[in-house]
Amino acid sequence: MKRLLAWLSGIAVALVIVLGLGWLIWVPSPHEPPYRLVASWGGAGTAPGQFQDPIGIAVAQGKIFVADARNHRIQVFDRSGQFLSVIGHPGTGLGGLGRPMNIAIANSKLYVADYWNDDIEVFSVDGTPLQVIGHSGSGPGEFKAPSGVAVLPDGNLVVADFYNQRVQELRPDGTFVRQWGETGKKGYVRSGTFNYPTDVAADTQGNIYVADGYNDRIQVFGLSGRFLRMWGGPFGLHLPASVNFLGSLNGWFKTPTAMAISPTDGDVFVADEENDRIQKFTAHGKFLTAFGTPPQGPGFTETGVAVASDGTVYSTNLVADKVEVWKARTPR
Amino acid sequence: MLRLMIKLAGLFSLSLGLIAVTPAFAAPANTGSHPNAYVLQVDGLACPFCAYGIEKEFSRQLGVENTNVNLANGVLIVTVKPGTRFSDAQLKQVVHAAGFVLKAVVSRPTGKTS
Repeated sequence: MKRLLAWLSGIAVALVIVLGLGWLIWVPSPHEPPYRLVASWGGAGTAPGQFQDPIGIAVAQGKIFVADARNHRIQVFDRSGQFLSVIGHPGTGLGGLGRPMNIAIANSKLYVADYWNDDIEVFSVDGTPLQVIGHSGSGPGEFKAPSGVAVLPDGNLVVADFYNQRVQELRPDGTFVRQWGETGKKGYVRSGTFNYPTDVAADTQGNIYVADGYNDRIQVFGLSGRFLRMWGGPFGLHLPASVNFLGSLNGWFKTPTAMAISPTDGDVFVADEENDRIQKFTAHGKFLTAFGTPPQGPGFTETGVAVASDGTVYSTNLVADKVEVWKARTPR
Repeated sequence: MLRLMIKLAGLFSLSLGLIAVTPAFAAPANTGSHPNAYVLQVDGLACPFCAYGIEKEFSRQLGVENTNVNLANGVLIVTVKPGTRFSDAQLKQVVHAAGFVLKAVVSRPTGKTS
Protein backbone atom coordinates (compact mmCIF):
# COMPACT_ATOMS: atom_id res chain seq x y z
CA MET A 1 0.00 0.00 0.00
CA LYS A 2 2.81 2.36 0.96
CA ARG A 3 4.60 1.57 -2.27
CA LEU A 4 1.43 2.30 -4.28
CA LEU A 5 0.98 5.63 -2.48
CA ALA A 6 4.61 6.52 -3.15
CA TRP A 7 4.10 5.66 -6.81
CA LEU A 8 0.96 7.74 -7.08
CA SER A 9 2.62 10.65 -5.30
CA GLY A 10 5.55 10.45 -7.67
CA ILE A 11 3.27 10.45 -10.69
CA ALA A 12 1.26 13.37 -9.28
CA VAL A 13 4.40 15.43 -8.65
CA ALA A 14 5.73 14.67 -12.13
CA LEU A 15 2.39 15.65 -13.64
CA VAL A 16 2.35 18.89 -11.69
CA ILE A 17 5.89 19.72 -12.82
CA VAL A 18 5.09 18.95 -16.46
CA LEU A 19 1.88 20.97 -16.38
CA GLY A 20 3.60 23.83 -14.56
CA LEU A 21 6.47 23.94 -17.01
CA GLY A 22 4.01 23.68 -19.90
CA TRP A 23 2.07 26.60 -18.51
CA LEU A 24 5.21 28.72 -18.06
CA ILE A 25 6.48 27.92 -21.55
CA TRP A 26 3.27 27.99 -23.58
CA VAL A 27 1.14 30.49 -21.71
CA PRO A 28 3.30 33.60 -21.81
CA SER A 29 2.69 36.70 -19.73
CA PRO A 30 2.22 40.02 -21.53
CA HIS A 31 5.37 42.10 -22.04
CA GLU A 32 3.41 45.28 -22.73
CA PRO A 33 0.18 46.75 -21.37
CA PRO A 34 -2.86 46.33 -23.60
CA TYR A 35 -3.53 49.06 -26.14
CA ARG A 36 -6.32 51.49 -25.30
CA LEU A 37 -9.33 52.20 -27.47
CA VAL A 38 -9.20 55.89 -28.44
CA ALA A 39 -11.93 56.16 -31.07
CA SER A 40 -14.44 54.22 -33.10
CA TRP A 41 -16.87 54.97 -35.90
CA GLY A 42 -19.53 53.32 -38.01
CA GLY A 43 -22.66 51.39 -37.11
CA ALA A 44 -24.89 49.02 -39.02
CA GLY A 45 -26.34 50.19 -42.31
CA THR A 46 -25.77 50.95 -45.95
CA ALA A 47 -25.24 54.72 -45.82
CA PRO A 48 -21.76 56.19 -46.24
CA GLY A 49 -19.85 55.62 -43.03
CA GLN A 50 -22.00 52.65 -42.05
CA PHE A 51 -21.11 49.00 -42.48
CA GLN A 52 -22.56 45.55 -42.98
CA ASP A 53 -19.78 43.21 -41.91
CA PRO A 54 -16.57 45.25 -42.03
CA ILE A 55 -13.80 42.68 -42.54
CA GLY A 56 -10.49 43.76 -44.07
CA ILE A 57 -8.78 47.03 -43.22
CA ALA A 58 -5.66 48.79 -44.47
CA VAL A 59 -3.99 52.13 -43.87
CA ALA A 60 -1.95 54.15 -46.37
CA GLN A 61 -1.31 57.77 -47.27
CA GLY A 62 -3.18 58.95 -44.18
CA LYS A 63 -6.37 57.13 -45.19
CA ILE A 64 -8.17 54.11 -43.80
CA PHE A 65 -9.59 51.61 -46.29
CA VAL A 66 -12.30 49.26 -45.03
CA ALA A 67 -13.75 46.23 -46.84
CA ASP A 68 -17.47 46.58 -46.18
CA ALA A 69 -18.24 43.01 -47.15
CA ARG A 70 -22.03 42.77 -47.27
CA ASN A 71 -22.29 46.23 -48.85
CA HIS A 72 -19.98 45.09 -51.69
CA ARG A 73 -17.67 48.09 -51.37
CA ILE A 74 -14.50 49.53 -49.95
CA GLN A 75 -15.03 52.66 -47.87
CA VAL A 76 -12.29 55.23 -47.42
CA PHE A 77 -11.93 57.46 -44.34
CA ASP A 78 -9.47 59.96 -43.02
CA ARG A 79 -7.72 59.09 -39.80
CA SER A 80 -10.36 60.84 -37.70
CA GLY A 81 -13.08 58.63 -39.20
CA GLN A 82 -14.46 61.20 -41.62
CA PHE A 83 -15.96 59.41 -44.64
CA LEU A 84 -14.13 60.29 -47.87
CA SER A 85 -15.21 57.99 -50.69
CA VAL A 86 -16.35 54.58 -51.90
CA ILE A 87 -14.31 52.25 -54.09
CA GLY A 88 -15.93 49.54 -56.20
CA HIS A 89 -19.53 48.71 -56.97
CA PRO A 90 -21.72 45.62 -56.46
CA GLY A 91 -21.21 43.07 -59.22
CA THR A 92 -18.50 41.28 -61.12
CA GLY A 93 -15.81 42.26 -63.60
CA LEU A 94 -13.58 45.30 -63.48
CA GLY A 95 -14.42 47.30 -60.37
CA GLY A 96 -17.18 44.89 -59.33
CA LEU A 97 -17.16 43.55 -55.78
CA GLY A 98 -19.06 40.57 -54.38
CA ARG A 99 -17.79 39.95 -50.89
CA PRO A 100 -14.54 41.90 -50.34
CA MET A 101 -12.46 40.37 -47.55
CA ASN A 102 -8.90 41.14 -46.46
CA ILE A 103 -7.16 43.86 -48.44
CA ALA A 104 -3.65 45.21 -48.99
CA ILE A 105 -2.12 48.44 -50.25
CA ALA A 106 1.25 48.67 -51.98
CA ASN A 107 2.77 50.94 -54.60
CA SER A 108 -0.32 53.20 -54.53
CA LYS A 109 -2.56 50.27 -55.47
CA LEU A 110 -5.35 48.67 -53.48
CA TYR A 111 -5.65 44.88 -53.72
CA VAL A 112 -8.95 43.30 -52.71
CA ALA A 113 -9.50 39.58 -52.17
CA ASP A 114 -13.05 38.98 -53.39
CA TYR A 115 -14.44 35.87 -51.77
CA TRP A 116 -17.53 35.62 -53.96
CA ASN A 117 -16.12 36.66 -57.31
CA ASP A 118 -13.08 34.40 -56.88
CA ASP A 119 -10.62 37.05 -57.95
CA ILE A 120 -8.29 39.79 -56.81
CA GLU A 121 -9.54 43.23 -57.74
CA VAL A 122 -6.89 45.90 -58.19
CA PHE A 123 -7.67 49.61 -57.85
CA SER A 124 -5.59 52.74 -57.67
CA VAL A 125 -5.81 54.19 -54.16
CA ASP A 126 -8.04 56.94 -55.57
CA GLY A 127 -10.54 54.26 -56.60
CA THR A 128 -9.93 53.73 -60.30
CA PRO A 129 -10.39 50.04 -61.22
CA LEU A 130 -7.19 48.78 -62.84
CA GLN A 131 -7.17 45.03 -63.14
CA VAL A 132 -8.89 41.76 -62.27
CA ILE A 133 -6.56 38.89 -61.39
CA GLY A 134 -7.70 35.26 -61.52
CA HIS A 135 -11.06 33.54 -61.74
CA SER A 136 -12.92 30.58 -60.22
CA GLY A 137 -11.16 27.26 -60.15
CA SER A 138 -8.49 25.14 -58.56
CA GLY A 139 -5.77 25.36 -61.18
CA PRO A 140 -2.67 27.53 -60.98
CA GLY A 141 -3.66 31.19 -60.69
CA GLU A 142 -7.30 30.30 -60.06
CA PHE A 143 -9.16 30.82 -56.80
CA LYS A 144 -11.85 29.29 -54.69
CA ALA A 145 -12.86 32.04 -52.26
CA PRO A 146 -9.68 34.13 -51.91
CA SER A 147 -9.72 35.64 -48.45
CA GLY A 148 -6.51 37.64 -48.15
CA VAL A 149 -3.79 39.18 -50.30
CA ALA A 150 -0.34 40.65 -49.70
CA VAL A 151 2.29 42.26 -51.91
CA LEU A 152 5.93 41.17 -51.72
CA PRO A 153 8.79 43.68 -52.04
CA ASP A 154 9.38 42.55 -55.64
CA GLY A 155 5.72 43.25 -56.55
CA ASN A 156 4.58 39.64 -56.62
CA LEU A 157 1.27 38.84 -54.93
CA VAL A 158 0.56 36.25 -52.29
CA VAL A 159 -3.04 35.07 -51.95
CA ALA A 160 -4.79 33.04 -49.27
CA ASP A 161 -6.91 30.70 -51.38
CA PHE A 162 -9.39 29.66 -48.69
CA TYR A 163 -11.34 26.72 -50.12
CA ASN A 164 -8.38 25.48 -52.15
CA GLN A 165 -6.48 25.08 -48.83
CA ARG A 166 -3.41 26.76 -50.26
CA VAL A 167 -1.43 29.98 -50.52
CA GLN A 168 -0.41 31.05 -54.01
CA GLU A 169 2.34 33.38 -55.16
CA LEU A 170 1.57 35.15 -58.44
CA ARG A 171 3.33 37.69 -60.61
CA PRO A 172 1.66 41.10 -60.86
CA ASP A 173 -0.06 39.99 -64.09
CA GLY A 174 -1.53 36.98 -62.28
CA THR A 175 0.71 34.26 -63.68
CA PHE A 176 1.45 31.48 -61.25
CA VAL A 177 4.82 31.30 -59.47
CA ARG A 178 4.34 28.67 -56.75
CA GLN A 179 2.06 27.53 -53.97
CA TRP A 180 2.18 26.26 -50.42
CA GLY A 181 -0.26 23.54 -49.37
CA GLU A 182 -1.87 20.80 -51.42
CA THR A 183 -4.79 22.05 -53.50
CA GLY A 184 -8.10 21.19 -51.89
CA LYS A 185 -6.54 19.08 -49.15
CA LYS A 186 -6.62 20.19 -45.53
CA GLY A 187 -3.51 19.73 -43.43
CA TYR A 188 -3.67 19.80 -39.67
CA VAL A 189 -0.20 19.44 -38.21
CA ARG A 190 2.60 19.53 -40.76
CA SER A 191 4.04 22.92 -41.64
CA GLY A 192 3.26 24.14 -45.14
CA THR A 193 -0.23 22.65 -45.01
CA PHE A 194 -3.36 24.60 -44.17
CA ASN A 195 -6.86 24.29 -42.82
CA TYR A 196 -8.69 27.21 -44.44
CA PRO A 197 -6.06 29.97 -44.66
CA THR A 198 -7.74 33.32 -43.97
CA ASP A 199 -5.07 35.95 -44.57
CA VAL A 200 -1.50 36.58 -45.64
CA ALA A 201 1.00 39.34 -44.89
CA ALA A 202 4.50 40.14 -46.09
CA ASP A 203 7.30 41.89 -44.22
CA THR A 204 9.91 44.18 -45.74
CA GLN A 205 12.33 41.25 -46.20
CA GLY A 206 9.79 39.32 -48.24
CA ASN A 207 8.93 36.79 -45.53
CA ILE A 208 5.35 35.56 -45.84
CA TYR A 209 3.04 35.19 -42.87
CA VAL A 210 -0.06 33.01 -43.20
CA ALA A 211 -3.04 33.03 -40.83
CA ASP A 212 -3.88 29.33 -40.90
CA GLY A 213 -7.47 29.99 -39.85
CA TYR A 214 -8.93 26.74 -38.57
CA ASN A 215 -5.58 25.39 -37.46
CA ASP A 216 -5.40 28.36 -35.08
CA ARG A 217 -1.81 29.19 -35.90
CA ILE A 218 0.47 31.54 -37.83
CA GLN A 219 2.98 30.05 -40.26
CA VAL A 220 5.95 31.95 -41.66
CA PHE A 221 7.85 31.23 -44.88
CA GLY A 222 11.10 32.77 -46.14
CA LEU A 223 12.06 34.31 -49.44
CA SER A 224 12.90 30.99 -51.04
CA GLY A 225 9.57 29.64 -49.92
CA ARG A 226 10.97 27.48 -47.17
CA PHE A 227 9.16 27.15 -43.89
CA LEU A 228 10.66 29.25 -41.08
CA ARG A 229 8.42 28.95 -38.02
CA MET A 230 4.89 28.79 -36.69
CA TRP A 231 3.15 29.67 -33.48
CA GLY A 232 -0.17 29.40 -31.67
CA GLY A 233 0.07 26.92 -28.80
CA PRO A 234 2.75 24.26 -28.40
CA PHE A 235 4.94 24.38 -31.52
CA GLY A 236 1.93 25.62 -33.51
CA LEU A 237 0.99 21.97 -33.95
CA HIS A 238 -2.66 22.51 -33.51
CA LEU A 239 -5.62 20.28 -33.55
CA PRO A 240 -8.56 21.53 -35.60
CA ALA A 241 -10.33 24.55 -34.17
CA SER A 242 -13.36 22.52 -33.16
CA VAL A 243 -11.35 20.78 -30.48
CA ASN A 244 -9.01 23.62 -29.58
CA PHE A 245 -10.51 24.32 -26.19
CA LEU A 246 -7.37 26.08 -24.93
CA GLY A 247 -7.33 28.68 -27.69
CA SER A 248 -8.15 31.56 -25.37
CA LEU A 249 -4.78 31.47 -23.61
CA ASN A 250 -2.18 34.15 -24.30
CA GLY A 251 -0.40 33.47 -27.57
CA TRP A 252 -2.94 30.88 -28.70
CA PHE A 253 -5.73 31.50 -31.18
CA LYS A 254 -9.34 30.77 -31.95
CA THR A 255 -9.66 31.42 -35.66
CA PRO A 256 -7.13 34.08 -36.64
CA THR A 257 -8.83 36.03 -39.42
CA ALA A 258 -6.35 38.78 -40.35
CA MET A 259 -2.80 39.99 -39.80
CA ALA A 260 -0.88 43.23 -40.07
CA ILE A 261 2.86 43.80 -39.82
CA SER A 262 4.17 46.99 -38.28
CA PRO A 263 6.09 48.91 -40.95
CA THR A 264 8.49 50.27 -38.33
CA ASP A 265 9.51 47.31 -36.18
CA GLY A 266 8.06 44.23 -37.88
CA ASP A 267 5.78 43.32 -34.97
CA VAL A 268 2.87 41.14 -36.01
CA PHE A 269 -0.73 41.96 -35.09
CA VAL A 270 -3.25 39.14 -35.40
CA ALA A 271 -7.03 39.49 -35.31
CA ASP A 272 -8.00 36.55 -33.12
CA GLU A 273 -11.66 36.66 -33.98
CA GLU A 274 -13.34 34.12 -31.76
CA ASN A 275 -11.41 35.48 -28.80
CA ASP A 276 -12.58 39.03 -29.61
CA ARG A 277 -9.03 40.33 -29.42
CA ILE A 278 -6.01 41.55 -31.32
CA GLN A 279 -2.80 39.81 -30.26
CA LYS A 280 0.59 41.42 -30.78
CA PHE A 281 3.77 39.38 -31.33
CA THR A 282 7.33 39.99 -32.35
CA ALA A 283 8.24 38.81 -35.84
CA HIS A 284 9.49 35.61 -34.20
CA GLY A 285 6.19 34.90 -32.51
CA LYS A 286 6.94 36.11 -28.98
CA PHE A 287 3.66 37.18 -27.39
CA LEU A 288 3.67 40.86 -26.39
CA THR A 289 0.12 41.87 -25.50
CA ALA A 290 -3.56 41.48 -26.34
CA PHE A 291 -6.48 43.86 -26.49
CA GLY A 292 -9.98 44.05 -27.90
CA THR A 293 -13.61 44.93 -27.36
CA PRO A 294 -15.84 42.33 -25.75
CA PRO A 295 -19.09 41.76 -27.67
CA GLN A 296 -22.26 43.25 -26.19
CA GLY A 297 -24.27 40.19 -27.26
CA PRO A 298 -23.92 37.13 -29.48
CA GLY A 299 -21.22 37.38 -32.16
CA PHE A 300 -17.55 38.22 -32.41
CA THR A 301 -15.71 41.52 -32.56
CA GLU A 302 -12.07 41.86 -33.71
CA THR A 303 -11.94 40.53 -37.28
CA GLY A 304 -9.56 42.72 -39.31
CA VAL A 305 -6.44 44.65 -38.33
CA ALA A 306 -4.09 47.27 -39.78
CA VAL A 307 -1.19 49.18 -38.29
CA ALA A 308 -0.01 52.64 -39.29
CA SER A 309 3.61 53.82 -39.37
CA ASP A 310 3.07 55.78 -36.12
CA GLY A 311 2.01 52.58 -34.36
CA THR A 312 -1.72 53.30 -34.28
CA VAL A 313 -3.71 50.11 -34.74
CA TYR A 314 -7.03 50.02 -36.61
CA SER A 315 -9.39 47.09 -36.30
CA THR A 316 -12.80 46.09 -37.61
CA ASN A 317 -15.43 45.13 -35.06
CA LEU A 318 -17.61 42.70 -36.98
CA VAL A 319 -20.61 42.38 -34.72
CA ALA A 320 -20.80 46.10 -33.94
CA ASP A 321 -20.16 47.10 -37.58
CA LYS A 322 -17.48 49.55 -36.50
CA VAL A 323 -13.89 50.57 -37.04
CA GLU A 324 -11.84 50.89 -33.86
CA VAL A 325 -8.68 52.89 -33.23
CA TRP A 326 -6.12 51.69 -30.68
CA LYS A 327 -3.02 53.35 -29.20
CA ALA A 328 -0.18 51.84 -27.20
CA ARG A 329 -0.12 52.91 -23.57
CA THR A 330 3.65 53.12 -23.47
CA PRO A 331 5.38 55.93 -25.37
CA ARG A 332 6.98 54.69 -28.54
CA MET B 1 8.27 27.21 -6.32
CA LEU B 2 6.61 23.80 -6.01
CA ARG B 3 3.54 25.41 -4.45
CA LEU B 4 3.37 27.86 -7.30
CA MET B 5 3.60 24.98 -9.74
CA ILE B 6 0.84 23.11 -7.91
CA LYS B 7 -1.38 26.23 -7.98
CA LEU B 8 -0.71 26.74 -11.64
CA ALA B 9 -1.43 23.11 -12.39
CA GLY B 10 -4.64 23.37 -10.41
CA LEU B 11 -5.75 26.43 -12.33
CA PHE B 12 -4.80 24.75 -15.58
CA SER B 13 -6.81 21.64 -14.75
CA LEU B 14 -9.75 23.69 -13.53
CA SER B 15 -9.84 25.75 -16.70
CA LEU B 16 -9.58 22.57 -18.75
CA GLY B 17 -12.52 21.10 -16.93
CA LEU B 18 -14.62 24.23 -17.16
CA ILE B 19 -13.94 24.72 -20.84
CA ALA B 20 -14.58 21.08 -21.57
CA VAL B 21 -18.02 21.01 -19.94
CA THR B 22 -19.26 24.38 -21.19
CA PRO B 23 -20.75 23.15 -24.50
CA ALA B 24 -22.91 20.67 -22.61
CA PHE B 25 -24.79 23.56 -21.04
CA ALA B 26 -25.06 25.70 -24.14
CA ALA B 27 -28.62 26.89 -24.70
CA PRO B 28 -30.33 25.60 -27.83
CA ALA B 29 -30.70 28.13 -30.60
CA ASN B 30 -33.95 30.06 -30.71
CA THR B 31 -34.69 29.60 -34.36
CA GLY B 32 -38.44 29.84 -34.90
CA SER B 33 -40.06 28.71 -38.15
CA HIS B 34 -40.24 30.55 -41.44
CA PRO B 35 -42.94 30.22 -44.13
CA ASN B 36 -40.52 30.06 -47.05
CA ALA B 37 -37.27 29.01 -45.47
CA TYR B 38 -35.25 26.11 -44.26
CA VAL B 39 -33.75 26.63 -40.83
CA LEU B 40 -30.62 24.58 -40.47
CA GLN B 41 -28.32 23.94 -37.52
CA VAL B 42 -24.76 23.69 -38.78
CA ASP B 43 -21.72 22.55 -36.82
CA GLY B 44 -18.55 24.61 -36.87
CA LEU B 45 -19.89 27.96 -38.07
CA ALA B 46 -17.77 30.58 -36.40
CA CYS B 47 -16.37 33.33 -38.57
CA PRO B 48 -17.60 35.38 -41.54
CA PHE B 49 -15.48 33.19 -43.81
CA CYS B 50 -17.64 30.22 -42.81
CA ALA B 51 -20.82 32.22 -43.22
CA TYR B 52 -19.94 33.53 -46.66
CA GLY B 53 -18.78 30.12 -47.84
CA ILE B 54 -22.05 28.49 -46.97
CA GLU B 55 -24.05 31.43 -48.36
CA LYS B 56 -22.07 31.16 -51.58
CA GLU B 57 -22.86 27.46 -51.94
CA PHE B 58 -26.58 27.95 -51.34
CA SER B 59 -26.72 30.97 -53.66
CA ARG B 60 -25.78 28.61 -56.51
CA GLN B 61 -28.80 26.37 -55.89
CA LEU B 62 -31.84 26.86 -58.07
CA GLY B 63 -34.76 28.40 -56.17
CA VAL B 64 -32.74 29.93 -53.34
CA GLU B 65 -33.63 33.58 -52.78
CA ASN B 66 -31.20 34.36 -50.00
CA THR B 67 -29.36 32.91 -47.04
CA ASN B 68 -28.78 34.33 -43.64
CA VAL B 69 -26.24 32.97 -41.19
CA ASN B 70 -26.40 33.60 -37.48
CA LEU B 71 -22.84 32.95 -36.35
CA ALA B 72 -23.73 33.23 -32.70
CA ASN B 73 -25.93 30.15 -32.63
CA GLY B 74 -24.77 28.32 -35.75
CA VAL B 75 -28.12 28.70 -37.49
CA LEU B 76 -28.52 29.09 -41.22
CA ILE B 77 -31.79 30.34 -42.71
CA VAL B 78 -32.22 29.57 -46.40
CA THR B 79 -35.15 31.41 -47.95
CA VAL B 80 -36.48 29.75 -51.08
CA LYS B 81 -38.94 30.66 -53.81
CA PRO B 82 -42.46 29.25 -53.30
CA GLY B 83 -42.60 25.61 -54.28
CA THR B 84 -38.85 25.04 -54.01
CA ARG B 85 -38.02 21.99 -51.92
CA PHE B 86 -34.77 20.30 -50.96
CA SER B 87 -34.36 16.83 -49.56
CA ASP B 88 -32.27 16.30 -46.44
CA ALA B 89 -29.63 14.66 -48.61
CA GLN B 90 -29.45 17.73 -50.86
CA LEU B 91 -29.18 20.08 -47.88
CA LYS B 92 -26.50 17.89 -46.36
CA GLN B 93 -24.56 17.86 -49.61
CA VAL B 94 -24.62 21.65 -50.02
CA VAL B 95 -23.52 22.21 -46.42
CA HIS B 96 -20.80 19.61 -46.88
CA ALA B 97 -19.58 21.33 -50.06
CA ALA B 98 -19.05 24.47 -48.00
CA GLY B 99 -16.90 22.48 -45.57
CA PHE B 100 -19.38 22.03 -42.75
CA VAL B 101 -21.62 19.42 -41.21
CA LEU B 102 -25.41 19.68 -41.19
CA LYS B 103 -26.43 18.94 -37.62
CA ALA B 104 -30.18 19.23 -37.97
CA VAL B 105 -32.96 20.55 -40.17
CA VAL B 106 -34.75 22.62 -37.53
CA SER B 107 -37.70 23.56 -39.74
CA ARG B 108 -38.82 23.47 -43.35
CA PRO B 109 -40.90 25.86 -45.44
CA THR B 110 -44.48 25.75 -44.28
CA GLY B 111 -45.80 27.63 -47.28
CA LYS B 112 -48.02 29.60 -44.94
CA THR B 113 -47.58 33.33 -44.64
CA SER B 114 -49.28 33.75 -41.27
